[in-house]
Amino acid sequence: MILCQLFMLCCFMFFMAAEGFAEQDADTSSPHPSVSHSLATNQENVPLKIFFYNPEINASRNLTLKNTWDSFLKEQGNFTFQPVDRGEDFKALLENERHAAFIMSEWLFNHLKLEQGEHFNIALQGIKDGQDTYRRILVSRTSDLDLEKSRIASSGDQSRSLSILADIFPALSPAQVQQLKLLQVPKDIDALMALGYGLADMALTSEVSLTIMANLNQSRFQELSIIKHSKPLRQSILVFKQLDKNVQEALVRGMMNMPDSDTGRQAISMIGLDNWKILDAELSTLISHASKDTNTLVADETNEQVMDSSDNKGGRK
Amino acid sequence: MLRPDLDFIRINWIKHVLSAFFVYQGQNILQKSLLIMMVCVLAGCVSNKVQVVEEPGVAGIKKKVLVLNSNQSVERYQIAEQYFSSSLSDYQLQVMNLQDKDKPVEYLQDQLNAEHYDLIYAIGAKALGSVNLIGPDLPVVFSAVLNWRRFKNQENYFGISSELSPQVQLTWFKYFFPDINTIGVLYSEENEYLIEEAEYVARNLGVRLVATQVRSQAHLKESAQNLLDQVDTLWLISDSYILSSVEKVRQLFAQADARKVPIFTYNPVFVEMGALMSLAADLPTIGRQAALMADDILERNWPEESIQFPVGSRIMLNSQKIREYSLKLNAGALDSVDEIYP
Repeated sequence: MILCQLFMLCCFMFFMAAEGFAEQDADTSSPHPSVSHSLATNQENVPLKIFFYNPEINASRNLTLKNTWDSFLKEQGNFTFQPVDRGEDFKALLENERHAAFIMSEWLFNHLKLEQGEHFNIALQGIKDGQDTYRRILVSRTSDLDLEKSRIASSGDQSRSLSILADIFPALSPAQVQQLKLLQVPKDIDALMALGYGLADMALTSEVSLTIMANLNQSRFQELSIIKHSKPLRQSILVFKQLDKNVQEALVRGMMNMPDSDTGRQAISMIGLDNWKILDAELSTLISHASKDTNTLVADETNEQVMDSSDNKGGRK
Repeated sequence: MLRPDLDFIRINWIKHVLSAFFVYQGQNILQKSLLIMMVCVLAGCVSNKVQVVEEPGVAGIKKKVLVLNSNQSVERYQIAEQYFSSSLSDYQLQVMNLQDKDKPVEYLQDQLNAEHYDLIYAIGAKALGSVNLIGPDLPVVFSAVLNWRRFKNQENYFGISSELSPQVQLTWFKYFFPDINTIGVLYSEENEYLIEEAEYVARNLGVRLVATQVRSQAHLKESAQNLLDQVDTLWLISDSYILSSVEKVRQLFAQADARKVPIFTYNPVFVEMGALMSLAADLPTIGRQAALMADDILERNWPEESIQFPVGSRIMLNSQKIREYSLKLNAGALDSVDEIYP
């Protein structure tokens, strides 16, 4: 019996050692896995995927979102856009994908307890109208409504809407929050129109949408009052997971070009943003140096042209 | 529903227990022990009683809803059923598919005789028509029915219409194309009330609505011609008299295209025919809305309006027409587009 146990122990140790050697071999063959991946990506022409998930955005238009983003990204390099319908699928991708880029809400990044560092690197922060934060607001026609009996129109994912309402009303118990009469609609403006045209008692929406509607139809929407608002929430972020810095730089450079082209503007506006700012210091330096180099090159070329033209004007002797 | 009264019951019982204990403080230990045992037994009874109230399903008092689907193979009916069912999980739902039923009325009558229901949700015209022929003494909620207007004043009938309200359609259009100020619409007698509402909204939006009533099919082409000469865009509404045949629709599109007048409409089908955009109802939202309506009725909160317009929108934009007609689009509105037609 003891001999048998010893034999099994030896087998186990031998097996572990063999596996360790195999791993070492793999590490030796690829000292920089991310670089080798990026090279492989280029060699095999496999595009880098940018996964996107935002439960505050209507998932039924993901096909249009993909087409619009892909038509922009193909001008920037070997990148492709992949919207994800369900939070669980996105979480699995975050865990399982080894080298990828992700666009998501900052609260989701924090909620999933993803830590920056070796694995994840927050590169970009979304901007809308010059602001990197936004607030969800609860709007109604009157301020004396009974919350528990009211029909609340809200866009996006139901659990996200309930979680915002729980934050707005900390006195409500989780059971009370679950019992709120939520009418899930595809868009923020739908929620406001439901309220404005009498199909809901309250709307959980954004400040931007309320301003739009108040400008469009003053008599209907200026009478609405903001009952509560959430704490400021950060706009979406672009996160890299274990990607080579050169690949990160190429994508960030492309993303920073978005406001300068029609396709870029169209793509970025579809996720509720109009610009990005760089959060990663190293990428910021790389890109600003490169643009300085480009500016110097352009300046040199301009100087040369000026000198050429002055030479021509002066006439060469 | 929220039940704050449960906590109230529990607190009251604890108060009674404690006061009884203090009243009998002067008695001997045996009496005290007996009292505590009695209190424990009673408390157990109360907690069991509370549990039954909290979980009505355990005692079998869940209300029963019959979901009557005209044809489960039709996608929009499927979506309505799916989202209605997932939003009404607190009730006992029974689904009946009328797809292959040659005699749906008899089949439904047998079912209603055999089972007791608290509400019927009818999806599509076949389902609603069958219910209407029987006329059960039950509240009926319906959706995905084109001629929903005939049920507007019928007692016990509630529903979600198939198109977005005129207010919502005009507001969306103005948001996308803020520079378009004159909108034309052709309508027949069946849409007189809709045009009245639309004119009111148009004024609030700063838009001029030119509405032309067509009284004879023979004058449709001529009426369209006159209207298209006065307007920046044509609004195509759901009107069986105006859109009486595919030929009539094609003729209307050809007339508008000849004058480069864009058309916006309520159904995505027309985008393929050359419409600039469609503003349709979002199908999952209709299912959820019908569920909320059913929930209200089952809780005896009767809706103010027996038939509601859909709350969610599905927007399709024809980018080819934007380029072709050189239209100025509000770029900020693009995050509301569901589909871009190439």
